[in-house]
Amino acid sequence: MNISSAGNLSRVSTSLRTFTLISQLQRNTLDIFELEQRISSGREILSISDDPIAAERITRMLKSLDSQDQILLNLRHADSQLAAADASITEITDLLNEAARIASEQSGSLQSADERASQAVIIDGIIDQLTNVANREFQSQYLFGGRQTDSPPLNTRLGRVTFVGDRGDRRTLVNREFTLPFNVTVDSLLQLRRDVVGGTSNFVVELDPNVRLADLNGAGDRGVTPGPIRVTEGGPGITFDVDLSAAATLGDAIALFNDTAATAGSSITLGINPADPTTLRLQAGPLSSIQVQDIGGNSTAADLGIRSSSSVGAPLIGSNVNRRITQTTPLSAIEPSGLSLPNGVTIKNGDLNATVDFTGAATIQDVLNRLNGTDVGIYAAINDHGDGIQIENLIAGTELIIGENGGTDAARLGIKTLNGETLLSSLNGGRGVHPGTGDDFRITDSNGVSFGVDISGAATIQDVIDAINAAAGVAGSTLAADISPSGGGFRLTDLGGPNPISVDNLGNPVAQELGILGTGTTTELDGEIVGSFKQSGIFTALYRLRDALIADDSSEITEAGSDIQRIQKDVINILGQVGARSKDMQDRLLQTEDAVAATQALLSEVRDVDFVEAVTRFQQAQTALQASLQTGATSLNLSLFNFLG
Amino acid sequence: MGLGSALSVGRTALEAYQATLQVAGQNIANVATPGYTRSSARLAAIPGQTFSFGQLGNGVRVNSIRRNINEALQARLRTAVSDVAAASVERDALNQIEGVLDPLGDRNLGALISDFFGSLNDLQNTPDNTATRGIVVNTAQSLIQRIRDTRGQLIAFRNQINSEITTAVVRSDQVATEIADLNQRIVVAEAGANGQASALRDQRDLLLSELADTFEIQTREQPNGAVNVYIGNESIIQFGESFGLKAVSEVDDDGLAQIVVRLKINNGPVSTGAGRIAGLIKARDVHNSEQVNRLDQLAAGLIYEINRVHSGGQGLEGFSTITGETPVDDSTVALNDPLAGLAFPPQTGTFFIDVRDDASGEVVRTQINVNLDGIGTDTTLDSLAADITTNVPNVTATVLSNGRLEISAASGFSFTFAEDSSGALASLGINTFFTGEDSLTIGVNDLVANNVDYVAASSTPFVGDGSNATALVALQDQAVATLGGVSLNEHYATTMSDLAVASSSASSANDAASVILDSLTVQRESVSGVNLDEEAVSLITSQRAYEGAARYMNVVNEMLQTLMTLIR
Repeated sequence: MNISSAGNLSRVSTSLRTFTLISQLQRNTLDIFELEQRISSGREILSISDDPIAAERITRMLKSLDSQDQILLNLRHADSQLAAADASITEITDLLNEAARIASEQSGSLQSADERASQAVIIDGIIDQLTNVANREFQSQYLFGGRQTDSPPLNTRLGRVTFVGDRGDRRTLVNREFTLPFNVTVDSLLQLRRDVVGGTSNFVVELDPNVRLADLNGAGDRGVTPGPIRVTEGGPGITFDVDLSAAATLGDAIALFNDTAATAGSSITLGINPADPTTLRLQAGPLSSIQVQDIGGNSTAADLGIRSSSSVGAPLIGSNVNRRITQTTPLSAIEPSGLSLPNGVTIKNGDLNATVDFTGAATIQDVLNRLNGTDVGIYAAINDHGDGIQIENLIAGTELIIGENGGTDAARLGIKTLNGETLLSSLNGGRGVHPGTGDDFRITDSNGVSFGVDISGAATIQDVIDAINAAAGVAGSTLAADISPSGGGFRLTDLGGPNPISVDNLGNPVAQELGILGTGTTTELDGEIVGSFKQSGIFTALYRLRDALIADDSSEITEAGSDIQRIQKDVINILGQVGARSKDMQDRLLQTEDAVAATQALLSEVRDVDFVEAVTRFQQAQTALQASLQTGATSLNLSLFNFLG
Repeated sequence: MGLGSALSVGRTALEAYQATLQVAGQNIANVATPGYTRSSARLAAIPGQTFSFGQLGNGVRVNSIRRNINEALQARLRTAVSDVAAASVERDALNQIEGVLDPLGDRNLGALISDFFGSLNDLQNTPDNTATRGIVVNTAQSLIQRIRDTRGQLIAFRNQINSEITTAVVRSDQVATEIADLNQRIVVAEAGANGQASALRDQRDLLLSELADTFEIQTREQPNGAVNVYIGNESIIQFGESFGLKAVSEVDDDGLAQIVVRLKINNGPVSTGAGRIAGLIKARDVHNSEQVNRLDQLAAGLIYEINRVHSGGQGLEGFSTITGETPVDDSTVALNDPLAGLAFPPQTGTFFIDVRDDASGEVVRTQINVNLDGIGTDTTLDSLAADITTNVPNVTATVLSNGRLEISAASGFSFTFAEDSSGALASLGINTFFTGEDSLTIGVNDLVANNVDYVAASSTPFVGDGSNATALVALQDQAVATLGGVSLNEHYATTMSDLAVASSSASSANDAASVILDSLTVQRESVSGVNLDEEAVSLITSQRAYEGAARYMNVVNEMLQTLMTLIR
C-alpha cells in the first residue's frame, strides 16, 4: 500500500489499520516467496516481465549459444575430416618419395634390366597402395570421394586406375552465412584432372525468350542483375522507369519493358535483334531517339548491353549479352545457324573405342549424355565459362584421341584432340617439337613438286599448318595441310597427281615429331598420332615409370622421375593447403569455443541468481515480515476497551 | 415552565442518548464489515419557550443519523476499482501466456526451433546418413507438436477468457438488478425521513463497487436517493429499472468464437472502458490474438521458407510419381490469383525438372517457366500441367479432380526438381518438407515422414552433397519476406521481447493502479471506517449523558415528590 498517503489522513480507523497491516504482510510474504523462488531455481529472472531487457538478452544469448553449438559441431566434423585427409596425404607423400627414390636410383646406367624389372613390381605395389589410400573410408564415407561418399572414387579398368568419383566440395557452415569445404577430392589430390581437352569452341548462342537471365554472362561478363532502368524517348520527351527485378527470363524482361513503355505512352519496344540474335534491340517511332540509363546504382542496362542511346529514327542495338550454354540450351540456338552434328565423333581411349552418334540430339544435355554414355573412360561437361564443352580422360596413362567420324562434328563441338590453338610443346607426350635452323622437312606433292618447310617460330598447330600451306603456295603446289580427321595428327592432301605424297627429314626429326614422315597416297598423307590427351596425374607418372623400368629405358625413367617430382611438389602443396585449412578450422574452433564460454559467462551473469545477495535479501525480508507481524499484533491489540472498567 | 416540562427534557435526553448509544453499537458491530460506512448521530437542542428572562430549551433530539462518506471519493474509488480490475486481468493473462510460451524455459519453442535447425545442420555434414535424416523428421515433428500444443493452449485460454466474460456478465446483470431493487427500497426508506438508509446504501455501494470491478461505470445520484448507472454512454440502471446485460457468442474475423457484451433491452453493444471485462477482452483480442497471429506467422514462415528451399533440392532417390499437397481452388486462373486459393502464391520464375533414365543413368533437364507478371497469359495450374506434359520427356502432369497437381514419370524413368526461383513447387506442395499454412495445419509431409530418403539435403544426385541442407540451415538467420523481412530466429526473439515488454508494462500498470486504489481505499477508510477507540469514547459519552439525564429525571422526580408532599 501507499504509505505516503497516510500523511494526508485526518483519522485512522480500525479497518484502515487492519487493511494496512494485511497489505504489509502480503508484501512481505510476496518478497519472501519471490526470493525463495530465486534461490531454489538459481535464476535471477523468474519471469520475462521481471526485466524485459534482461529477458531479451537471455533469449538472444540462448539462440546465440544454439547457433554456436551448431558451428562448433560443424568445425569439429570438418576438423576430423581434414585430420583424416592430412594423415592419408602424408602416406601418399611417403609413397611418392619411395617412387621418386626408385626413379632416381634406376635412372643411371649401372642398373640391370632384371633389377629394374624387380623395381617395376614395387611401383605396381605403390600404385595399389595409393589406390587404397585414395579409396579410404572414414566414418563410413569415402574420404576422397567428393560428394559421392558411398562408392570408392577410384577403380581399375583395363589394368589402369580410373577416376569414377565426384569432383565437388563438401561444405559446412563455419558461421551463420559462410561455408568452407572440409573435404579433399582425389582428383585434385592426385592431379587426375589437371588438363582437359576441348572447351575451345567459344560457342556463340542466340537469345530466345526462354533463356534465364541467370544464364547470361552479360555484356560486361559479370552476369545480369535484374533491377530498374530508365528509358527516355527523345521527340515526344517521354521518360519512364522499368523495374526488371521480377523478371526471371529474357521473355519476362521484354514483356515488362514493353508493358511499362506502352503504359507510359512511349512508342519504344524491346526485343531480340533479328539481325544479330545475340543482342537486344530497342525501336521507336521515326521521329524518336532512345536513351537507356541505369539508375539507383544498378547495372541492369549495362548488363543487358543496352545502356546506350540512339539517334533520331535509329534503333538502339545492344551488345552481345553472352548467353551461356547450359544443359537445356538447344543446339539450334548455337551460331551460326544452329549446331548441326550429322556425322558424330570417334573416341579412342587406350584400347577403348567408341563412335558417338548425335542423331536426334536437341540440347547440350543430349550431347553430353551421348558422350558420357560411351563408356570409354571420359567425362564430358560444360566448361566453367559456359561457352564450350570439355572432355576429361578418367583413365590414368591412356591416350585419349577424339576425332571426326567423316565430318566436322568434333571440330564444331570443340572437342577434337588437336585444334589450331594446341601448342606444339604439348605434342609427343609433352616432349614437343624441336625445329632446327632453316627448312625442317621437305614435302613432295603428288605432282612431284618438292618444297622445304621451315617451322621455326611456330608455336601452335595452326602455325605449322599455315607454314606448310604457305610453302606449298610459294612452290606452286596444290598440296594443303590440316588436322587429321583422327584428331591426333596432321594430314596432307593433294588433288591426286601421279606420285604419292611424301615427307622427308632435313637434318632434324621435326617431320617425325609432327607424325608426317613417310609416304602416303596420291591424295592424302594421314600423319601419325602425335597429340593425345593423357591424364597428367600421379598414376600416369607411375605407369610411365613402371613401363620404363620394364623396358629398361633410362631416359624414360628420368622423364618419369621428373613427372613424379613435379607431382610430389603439388601433393606437398596440397598437404600444405589441407594443413592450412585444418589450422583455420582449429582456429575457428578455438574462437568459437571462447565465444561460447564468453556467452555462457554473460548468460550466467544475467540469468543466474547472485546467491550471496539473494540470501541476504531473504534474511532482510524475513526480518521485515517479523517486524510487521510484531508491530501489527501490538498495534491491533491496543484498544480503549482494555482500559474501561 | 413546569416540572412536567422538566421531565420532558429528561425524556428527550434519554431517548437521544439511547439512540447515540445504538449508533455506536452499530458502528462497533460493523467494524469488520466490508464496505460499511460508519454512522454518526447528529444531536440538536429542542427549542423551548421564551420567557421574560430568556428562553428555556425543551431538551435534545437526534436530528439525523448521517453516513460518514465522501461521495466524490466513492466515485474515484469505483474508477480505481475498474482500473485495477482491468490491469490485473491483463497482467494475469500475460502471465498465463508467458506460462504457455515459457520464454525462459530450456525446452520452449525457441529451443525446439534450434533443435530442428541443429538436425539440419547435422544433415549438411552427413547427408548420406539415414539416421540423421530420421532425426530431422523427428525434430520437425517435435517442433510441430509444440507449435500445435502452444496454439491449443492459447485457444483454450481464449475460450477460458470467453467463459470468464460470460460469467462476469451474468453476475453483473444480477448486480444491476439488485442495484435497481435497492434504488427502489432506498427511495421508499428515505422518503420523508430526515436521514439516510445507511444499511441499504452501504449494500448498494458494495454492489456498485462490484459492478465497477467488472465495468467502468459512472453514477448519478438522484434527489430521491436513487442512483442511475451508466457504462460508457449507455444507461444501465435508471431508478428502479435495470436494462440488463447479456453475453453473446459471435465469430471474429479469424473464425474464432468471441463473447461480446450487449444490452438486453436493445441488443446494443456495451463499451466496456475499464474493468474486468475490458481487461479480459484486451487479453483475448490483443494479447492472446497477437500470440496466435505470431505463432501463425512463425509457422507460415517456417513452412514456406523451408519448403521453398526443400522443393528445389533432391533426396537420395527420385520420384516416379508425386502429388502436390496443396490443392488449387480454380485451376484456370493465374496461380497468384486469390481465386486460386494458394496460401503462398508463387511469382514469376523458373524451375527445372531432371528426368533420369534409370537404365542408362542419362539425365535430361527441362526448364519450366512460371509467368505471373500479369502481362499476356499468366501461368495457371492447367497451363503448368500442360507445359510439363508437353515439354518434359517421359513425364506427365495432371490436374486431379481435387485441384492437386500430379506429376508422373513413364516406366523406367524418375525425376527430380532443381532451382525453383518461382516458388511454384513450394506453393503447390510438391517435394516439400512441411504441409499446411499456419500453426493449426502445419505438419510434416507424409512423403518425407514415410521415407526419409526424400529429405532433400542435396542439390545434386550425389549422396554426400549436403548443400541444400546448408541452405536450409542458413534460413534460420536469413531475413525472409514471409516474416516481413526478419529471420525465423529474429521473429521468435522479437515475439518474446514484445511479450516481455507487454507483460512488464501490464505489471507496472497494475502496480500503478493498485497504488491509486490503495491510496483511495486508505482515504475512504479514513473517512468512513470505524475506529473502535472513537466508538468507545462515544459509548462512554452517551452512557454518561444517559446517566446524567437519568439523574436529572431523578432530581425532577424528587422535586415532584416534594411537591406532592406539600399537597398532603
